Amino acid sequence: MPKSRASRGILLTSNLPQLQNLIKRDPISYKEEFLTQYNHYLSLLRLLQHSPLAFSNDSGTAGDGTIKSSSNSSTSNAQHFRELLTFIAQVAQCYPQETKTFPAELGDLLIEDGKVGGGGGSRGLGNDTRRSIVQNLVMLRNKGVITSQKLLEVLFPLLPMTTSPSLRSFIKKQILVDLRTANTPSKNHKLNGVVQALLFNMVDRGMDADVVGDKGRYSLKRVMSGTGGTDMTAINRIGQEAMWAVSLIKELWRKSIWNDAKTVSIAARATRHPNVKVQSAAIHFFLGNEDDDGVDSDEEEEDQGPSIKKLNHQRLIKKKTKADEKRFSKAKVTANKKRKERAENSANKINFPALELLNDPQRFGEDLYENMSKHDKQYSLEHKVLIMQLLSRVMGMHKLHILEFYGYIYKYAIVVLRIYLTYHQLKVTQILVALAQSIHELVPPEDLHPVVTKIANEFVNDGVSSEVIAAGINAIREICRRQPWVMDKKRYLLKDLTDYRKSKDKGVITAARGLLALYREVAPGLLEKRDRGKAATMGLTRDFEVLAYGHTKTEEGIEGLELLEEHLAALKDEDGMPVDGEDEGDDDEGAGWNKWEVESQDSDSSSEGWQDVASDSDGDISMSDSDEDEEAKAERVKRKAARKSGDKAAKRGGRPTNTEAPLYSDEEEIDDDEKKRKTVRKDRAIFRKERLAMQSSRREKSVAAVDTTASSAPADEDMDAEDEEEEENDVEMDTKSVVSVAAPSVAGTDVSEIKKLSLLAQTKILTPADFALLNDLKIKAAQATADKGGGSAAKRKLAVLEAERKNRDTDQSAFLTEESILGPRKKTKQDYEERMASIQKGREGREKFGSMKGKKKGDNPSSSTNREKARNKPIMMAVHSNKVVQKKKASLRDKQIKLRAAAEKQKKMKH
Amino acid sequence: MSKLSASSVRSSIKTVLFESSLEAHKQKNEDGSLAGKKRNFVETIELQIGLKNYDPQRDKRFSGTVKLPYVPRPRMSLCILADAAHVDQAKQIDLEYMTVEDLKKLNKNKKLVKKLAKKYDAFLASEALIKQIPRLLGPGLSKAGKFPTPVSHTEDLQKKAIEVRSTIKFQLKKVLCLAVAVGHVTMSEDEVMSNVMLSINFLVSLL
Repeated sequence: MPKSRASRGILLTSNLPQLQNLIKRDPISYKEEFLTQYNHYLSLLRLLQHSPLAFSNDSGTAGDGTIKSSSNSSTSNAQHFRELLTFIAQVAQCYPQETKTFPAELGDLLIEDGKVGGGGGSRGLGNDTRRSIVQNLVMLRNKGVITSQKLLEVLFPLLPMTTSPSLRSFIKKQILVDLRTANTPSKNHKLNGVVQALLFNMVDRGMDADVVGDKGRYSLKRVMSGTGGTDMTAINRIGQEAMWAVSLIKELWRKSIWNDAKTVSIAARATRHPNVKVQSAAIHFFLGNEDDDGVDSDEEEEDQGPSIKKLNHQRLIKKKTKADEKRFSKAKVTANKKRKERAENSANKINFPALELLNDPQRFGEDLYENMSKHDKQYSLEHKVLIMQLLSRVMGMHKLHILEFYGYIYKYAIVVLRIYLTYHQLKVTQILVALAQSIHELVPPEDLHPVVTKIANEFVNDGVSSEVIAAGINAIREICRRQPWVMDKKRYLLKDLTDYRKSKDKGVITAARGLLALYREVAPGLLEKRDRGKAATMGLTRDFEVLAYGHTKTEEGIEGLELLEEHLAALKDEDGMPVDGEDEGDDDEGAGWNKWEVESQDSDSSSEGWQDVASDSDGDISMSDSDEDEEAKAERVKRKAARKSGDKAAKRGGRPTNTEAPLYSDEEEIDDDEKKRKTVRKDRAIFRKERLAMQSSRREKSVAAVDTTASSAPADEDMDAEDEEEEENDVEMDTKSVVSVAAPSVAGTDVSEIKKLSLLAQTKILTPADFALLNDLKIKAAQATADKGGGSAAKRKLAVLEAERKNRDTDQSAFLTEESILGPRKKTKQDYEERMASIQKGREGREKFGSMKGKKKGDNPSSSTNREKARNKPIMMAVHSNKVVQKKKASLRDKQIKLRAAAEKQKKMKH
Repeated sequence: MSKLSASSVRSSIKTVLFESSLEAHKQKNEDGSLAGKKRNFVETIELQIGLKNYDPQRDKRFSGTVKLPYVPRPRMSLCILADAAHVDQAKQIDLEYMTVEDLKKLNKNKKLVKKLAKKYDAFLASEALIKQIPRLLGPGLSKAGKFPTPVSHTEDLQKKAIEVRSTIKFQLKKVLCLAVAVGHVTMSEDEVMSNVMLSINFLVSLL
């Protein structure tokens, strides 16, 4: 508020913004003025430090007149102080030497203030002043006067102290923004470490307090509302501090600003915090809410730049100018850049689920269990179920052994069933989910016997409703899916349960059938012979059966690789002619052939030539589209493989390489260009041929795959194998040992087969194209078994493979949901109340049905209808009318018809 | 994947083997340093793989074990948690063993179990015993990732030991790199080669 423009000096002292402007232009000459203001600030600060309440009541709501004047002065003081703060913060970078202590003073002021104020309402500084201090600190950080570490050190302790919600959210936002900017180009490990330590301390500080449950005499609610006194506020504050820490971590994790193990360890610590709220927040962090994940509802998400779509539209409508054109092209460039950046960021992000990053899962699980069982009485059922959920996920994911947990559930099942009676209003299903989830293949079946028997006894009997039975059977099914050997010594139970498929309720039938289907697949031996099903009796489910306890599936090679091998062999047959084998080198070097030393050099040079040529030919065929290029490359490698195998076969079949010999010599003589041309031509020819072959084989295979793979191919295989073995005799011992290692498990012709497939995987790096082909072949094979009657397992495998081909996104969510335990439920019949309620609901907001007369038009009646008039007419006036005469004249039959119709109508009207 | 060629794998294996060979310890590079340094142990060859563009939250989790054609770690120390029949067999082939009584002596003591887990690289267990292991030893072994492999009485113990020694496991944990021992320097080039190739192909087939 400039009073007069007469004197510059007056102007300067009263108008801080102007001074600020001048200082920024010329800091040195205005130093005096600045120092005056700074001293003013210092004196105000000293005043504040002396009597912390000096600036209070800045809201100006003082009660009586006696303090009003003082409050007025304090208000103006406070306002002036704030203005000064802003001013100094703005120009602080111009006088770094003078304002060295300024940020620290602000920080101390805030923190001291928080401590003095305690939990009470009235504080030394007003909310406005506090907010302005925080804002100025943030500004100082933005100007680079203080580091973000210093800023965060002030903000963090402030967070739980502040009572004003707006300031709190402001601080929280500032912290998040600051951490994000610090981590944007690359992770700022130093800062993160410091901040994580701060957060860890916030959580850790309250750890040794007594646990306050949410149930019973010492529950949190009671303590809060009761006359707890000082210890209550202490508990409260401890909880709040930790709560803030957890919520910040949650937020940072969600935005994947922090996604390392250290963050997880803080949350893991918080799961044992004495405050139940903190515990539950930390548990939710690990469980992760699905609806939370997807939505990134951030307004301040980095700006996307001008939207291209909008600009495009504008360009169509608006007048075209050069400037517009320029702007558009610029926007396009930036948008492209941004998109690229984003793609890169998302590609480089390491995105592990929090549960996987736990430092010591076993310890974590044990602690969780201990916490739950120790404070069994203090925690409410919801909280315990929450802990159980997390515990079970950890157990299932990391295959932990916490055998006490099953005992606990066993005990708990009784308690729950006795006390809480009805199954759907309590959390029994969730407990069942937790139980099933916690089981993995390394849980000893004996330890599960009691709990499974318990579930069967309590849930699956004739005394309970069908939903309960269904839930029980579903739960047992889920347990058995994870550890099928539970039923090993309980076959009678399994039979009992599967016999429920003859029940009348749909849910029960589905559940029992599910259990039966599961065992038909994984362990048909445990079922009665007549229950095993066709596929199992035929032995088609061998691949799906689970191994005995503790066994792990060890692959001898890659699944289905023999199919690829066969396919390549088939391709070779269809090609019909041996192709050049320049790339033979690395394959047969494996055999340790001495005379190959010379030729391999040859092959090296020629293979180099190959690569050059191929890239050229790519340029010819495709328009240098990167994708297609990739494909072409993959195709090339595949072709090489085909050629290689073809060549090998040719040699094997006793045909010496006489076709190639001249080729080699030719190529040595012919100059490079010619060679190129030649190879290109060859390349294309092969490519075409192969495509044809692929197509035809695909067409045929879909029908005849079964036969070819089953009968003819093996025969070929055998012949090949024999030949190969003969040849193998003069190969060195190395390959012999391959055979001998691979051999013992299988006998006869299978030996050579296994050796062969392992050789393919050992000598050649399979390309994505190879794997795609392999998947196709696997699908065909799976189709064949499914057609043969391989049971549902084969069908499912087929579906999985097909889905894999489509988008490689087959994994269902790893965790069990409550729905799978509940199963499909039939809609139950409504009872009277429900029916009435639905009727009432339907009546809402509509007019009543019925005659309009007298009801709706009662207030303003309209004239009578013609029908009414006719009915009320005196008979003598109507006796000669045509209508009446006709009635009299009517024949008896007509009269009868009319009478009957009238009677009918009367009858209908009664209803 | 298509970037990696068999020949480049072979050449790098050659370099590795050469640098640990005797000649390399004598031969000098241009700058005067030795081409290889003599170690007082048999160097193991490890295959290290970093996964790129792999989102462990979205993409499927993989884990698989594969048996390599050649034993990559012949000196892997094994111990069998044996029943009476297997004790005899183990004595015959000089395999270290522990009986149920020995295990009971550990008394589920965490430190002792940890010590046991540290002492050996892998464990075998008689099929009759395997189910009791979690009860007898607690979570110690599985925590160390050394849950025993079961052996039945019909299997040849020696063969089983070799199988365990030549089995490798791929599992993604916490970081996007995998490291697994696939050979050692006294193996021949071809042996290393086929182990490496099979491991790579197998891993890719898991992804």
